[in-house]
Amino acid sequence: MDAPPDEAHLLERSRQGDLAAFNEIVAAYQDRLYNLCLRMLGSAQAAEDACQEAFLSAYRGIAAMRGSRLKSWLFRIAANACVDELRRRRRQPQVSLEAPVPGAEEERPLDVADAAAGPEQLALRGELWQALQAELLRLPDDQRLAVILCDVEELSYEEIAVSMSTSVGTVKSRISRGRARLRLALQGRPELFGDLVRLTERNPG
Amino acid sequence: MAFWRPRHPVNDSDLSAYVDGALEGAARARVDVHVDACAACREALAGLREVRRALGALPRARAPRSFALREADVRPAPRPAMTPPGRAPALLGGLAAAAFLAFGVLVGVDLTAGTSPTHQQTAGPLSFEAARGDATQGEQPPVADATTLAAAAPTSLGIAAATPEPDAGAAPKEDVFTGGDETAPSANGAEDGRSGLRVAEGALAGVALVAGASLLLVRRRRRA
Repeated sequence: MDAPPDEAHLLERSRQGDLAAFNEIVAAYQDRLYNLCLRMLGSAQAAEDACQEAFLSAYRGIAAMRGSRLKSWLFRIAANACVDELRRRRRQPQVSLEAPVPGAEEERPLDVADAAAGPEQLALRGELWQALQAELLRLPDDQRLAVILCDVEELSYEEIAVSMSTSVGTVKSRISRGRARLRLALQGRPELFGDLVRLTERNPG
Repeated sequence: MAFWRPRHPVNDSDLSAYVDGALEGAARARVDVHVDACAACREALAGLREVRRALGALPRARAPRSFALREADVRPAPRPAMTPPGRAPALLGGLAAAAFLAFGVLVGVDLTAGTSPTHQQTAGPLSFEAARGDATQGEQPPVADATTLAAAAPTSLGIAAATPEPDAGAAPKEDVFTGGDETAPSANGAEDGRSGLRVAEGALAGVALVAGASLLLVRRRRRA
C-alpha cells in the first residue's frame, strides 16, 4: 500500500487539527497497521483495539511529531500499542499465551489468492498459515515485531529501527534470530513448505 | 535459537542480512564464496529464504471497519504542548513536591545519623519529559513531573503502594524492549526507634501520596 500522493499536505493539515485530513491518513494506513496488530497479537479483537488506540495516539501526537517520516512513525505507534497489550496480558496470569487464541485463524477480508487453487492446495495453504501464525506468537515479542515489520510489512532496516526505537544492528539481530527460530520450528513440517514454492510463484507476495 | 558455527566465516546474522540484500561489497562476497563451498550454510540460507517467503505470502488482512476518528473521540485540536494546568493541579503538585522534599530531608537526616551511609534518590521521574504522542504507555496517560514524582515516591521509598508504576518514568525514545531508565531504589535506614522522626516521615509521605493522587484525579477528570 502506497502513501497517499498528497501525504505532506495531509500531514500539515492534520498538525493544525484538521480531523478530516487526518482521517485520510487513517484510511491510507489502517489496513497495514491492522495487519501488523493482527500478526503481533494473534487476535482480531485485540488487533482492532490496538489499532484504534494507535490512531488515537497518533492524532494526539501528530502536532508534536518531528520530520516527515510518517510511515515509520505510525508503525512505531502501532508497535507500542501492541507491546502495551502484550504487557497487559502478562499481568493477567490466567490468560495463557500458549493457548490457541480465538480469532487467530479468523482472517478478516483477505486478498485471497488464487481462485484456481484446488481444495487440497487451499487446505494445505491454510495449514501453513496457521502454523506460521502460531509459531510467530511463540517468538519473543521483539523478534516477532522485527520479523513482521521486515517480512510481512516489508519495511527497510532503517524504517524498522525507527519503528522499534533502536539501532539497525539490533534490528538485524532480532530479525535473524526470529527467522532462525521460525525455521527451526517449522523444520518438522516440510510438507507445508513443499507447496509454498508453487503457491508463491502463482501469487507473488 | 541461533546456532553459531565457530569455524565458519559467516554467521546467522550475515546470512539473514544477505537474504535481505543488505550486505554489500566484501561482506556479500564473503558469503557468496563461503556458501558455494559449504552445504550446511547453503541449506541454512535456503531455509531463511523459505521462511521469508512464507511470511511474505501470509494473507493480508484488511481493516475490519474504518478506524476514522470522530470528533467525539478527540479533543477539538491536537496541541503541540500540554495545556496549562490551572491553579488546582499546580497547588496540588506543589504540595506533593514540597511534602516529598521535606520527606527526603527527614530521611536524609535519619540515615546520616543512622546505620547506612549511602542512599540513592530516584533520578528517573525527575528527568521525565512531557510525553510525546508517540509513546503509548497503556493505562498511564502522559503526566507532568510533579505527578510522577508523587506517584513514584511511595514505590521508590519502599512504602506499600497499591500498584507500582514501573514504566511511568520511561522516556518515549527508549527501546520498548530493553529501555527504561534506572530508578535506583533508595535504602531506608534500619529501624532504630526514632519513632518521632518516623511519624513525621509517614505523615509527609501520606500528604505526598494524597496530593499526588488528587492531582491525578483532577487531571483525569479534566481529560474526560
